[in-house]
Amino acid sequence: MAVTRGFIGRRAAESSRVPPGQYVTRDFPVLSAGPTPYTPLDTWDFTIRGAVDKPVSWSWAEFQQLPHEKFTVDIHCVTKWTRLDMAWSGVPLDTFLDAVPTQATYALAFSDGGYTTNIPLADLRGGKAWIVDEYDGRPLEPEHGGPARLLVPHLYFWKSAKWIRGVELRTTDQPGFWEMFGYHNYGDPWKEQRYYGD
Amino acid sequence: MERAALLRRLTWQTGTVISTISETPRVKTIVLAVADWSGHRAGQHIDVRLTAPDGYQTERSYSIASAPEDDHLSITVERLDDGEVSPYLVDELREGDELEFRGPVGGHFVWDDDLGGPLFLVAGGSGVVPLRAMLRHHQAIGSKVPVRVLCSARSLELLIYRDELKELAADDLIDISITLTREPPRSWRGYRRRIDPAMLSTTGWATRKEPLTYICGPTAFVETAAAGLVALGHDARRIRTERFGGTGV
Amino acid sequence: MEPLDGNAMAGVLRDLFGRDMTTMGYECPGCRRTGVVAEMAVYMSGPGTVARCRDCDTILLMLTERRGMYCIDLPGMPQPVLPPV
Ligand SMILES: Cc1cc2nc3c(=O)[nH]c(=O)nc-3n(C[C@H](O)[C@H](O)[C@H](O)COP(=O)(O)OP(=O)(O)OC[C@H]3O[C@@H](n4cnc5c(N)ncnc54)[C@H](O)[C@@H]3O)c2cc1C
Ligand SMILES: [Zn+2]
Repeated sequence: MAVTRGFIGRRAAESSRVPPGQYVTRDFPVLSAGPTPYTPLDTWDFTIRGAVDKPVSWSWAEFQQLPHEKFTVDIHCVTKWTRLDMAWSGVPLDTFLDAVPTQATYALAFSDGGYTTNIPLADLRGGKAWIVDEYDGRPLEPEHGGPARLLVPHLYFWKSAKWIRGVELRTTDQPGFWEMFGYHNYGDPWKEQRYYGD
Repeated sequence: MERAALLRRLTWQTGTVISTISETPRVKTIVLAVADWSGHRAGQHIDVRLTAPDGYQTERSYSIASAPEDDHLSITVERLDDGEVSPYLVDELREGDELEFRGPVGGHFVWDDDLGGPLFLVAGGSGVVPLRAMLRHHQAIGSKVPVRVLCSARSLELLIYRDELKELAADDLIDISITLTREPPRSWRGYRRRIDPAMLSTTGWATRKEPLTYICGPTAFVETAAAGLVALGHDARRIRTERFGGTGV
Repeated sequence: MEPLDGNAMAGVLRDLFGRDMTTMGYECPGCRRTGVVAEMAVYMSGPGTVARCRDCDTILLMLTERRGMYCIDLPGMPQPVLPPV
């Protein structure tokens, strides 16, 4: 591999907080697979559906009323950037899931614009996942997934679906958008689970 | 759904920087010597690949600024302050350095004499780069196709190829209009606003001339120009576009 | 990030197919728009490259890389029309 003289990239691997194959960035790169949807807040809702007695939805106003947590986590993207100490505010998934009894073990998150991603339900419980509507003290911008996105920081960032509208609970696993196109079903950055079969 | 797994061919080659030319305070032309250059068509681009010592690699596309008839291959790069690759190319790369790239590539956003005209070339910011290759090619082959050009830049100082455009405009077959969107000098007699249908209509060709149009620049600029021409009644199939990403101009 | 267009895929597609693919014709299964690959709306900032119809956003082509191997899906191009070489 021919090294380009004088080029270091704006990323540099740093500490033990950086998973293998990742580079630290100070930006917040925008990842998208399609146009940015702009859903008016008065028609926005968040729905838990699928393997439940009856789907349950929260309007934007109801979602705003739910107790929010402020937290700071590192984010790892499969495109190889890692950004340390990102400050979010959101509602833990537990808040929604506790309201809806289910036998399901899998979840498929779905978003405006048609994006989906699958996650084992256990990974959405136990304070490991949130629906966030604020980044760095400000409302989440549409290009970063606003009004609200899923945030599952212990998995690669494509699992943190932008423009989230709900979660379908399932008894069988259903690959989402990138998973269908060869990305790893689970996506643990510490095991470098980038692609199917890793 | 059709799916295929394909092994990528190794088609990267290196060029040696023989000189760099300052075009504006934030834009440089990089002139490369390339062994076995296959030749190119005006409007094509190359993909440049940079490799850091830790193995990190990144690629970006840059239009070929030179005409097929020029002695050397060159690209013209605008520095984006928060960019990863363009600041390296503009500020750090120097004579004698090697640059890895693949190309020439792209068969759609190209112009040859066979494609005829009349031509309307519409450029926003660094979008003028592939159009300059077309203009140089037009001159080099002594084409008889009439050309109208509309360039949008923030200010006269930031207009890329300013002197060359002035010289090209002396050609009877080439008409060049310029609009400055931010800081036109007091004495400026060209346009002083963002492009709009009225400007496209006066600087371009009547629809009955069925011009062949090339639009290049930041994505939002290209969308505005293309939509404006279609709204004026131009045939969308005679409008070719190339988007550089980003917003503005 | 504003989307690019199919020109931006020219390099990788040429690597994969050994020829220019951006002048390949297609018909969108969503809205019947016809055009060439160069005209597609292309999103390259995600894990893979997604090319969509400019009019109706239907996905026409997907490109994912996996350690030097590329996987190409053509969900919207049941009958791609190869351009003359
Ligand atoms: C086919 C093709 C041909 C191109 N030809 C040229 C050329 O001849 N000359 C040239 O200077 N550039 C050209 N570009 C753009 C170039 O490939 C890079 O996108 C650009 O240099 C920015 O790279 P970067 O690494 O510096 O910025 P990045 O690190 O990629 O991005 C930094 C920031 O700038 C934004 N951004 C990215 N691209 C642009 C843009 N074009 N305008 C404004 N903001 C942007 C990003 O969203 C991001 O916020 C071309 C692009 C394509 C697809
Ligand atoms: Zn369509």
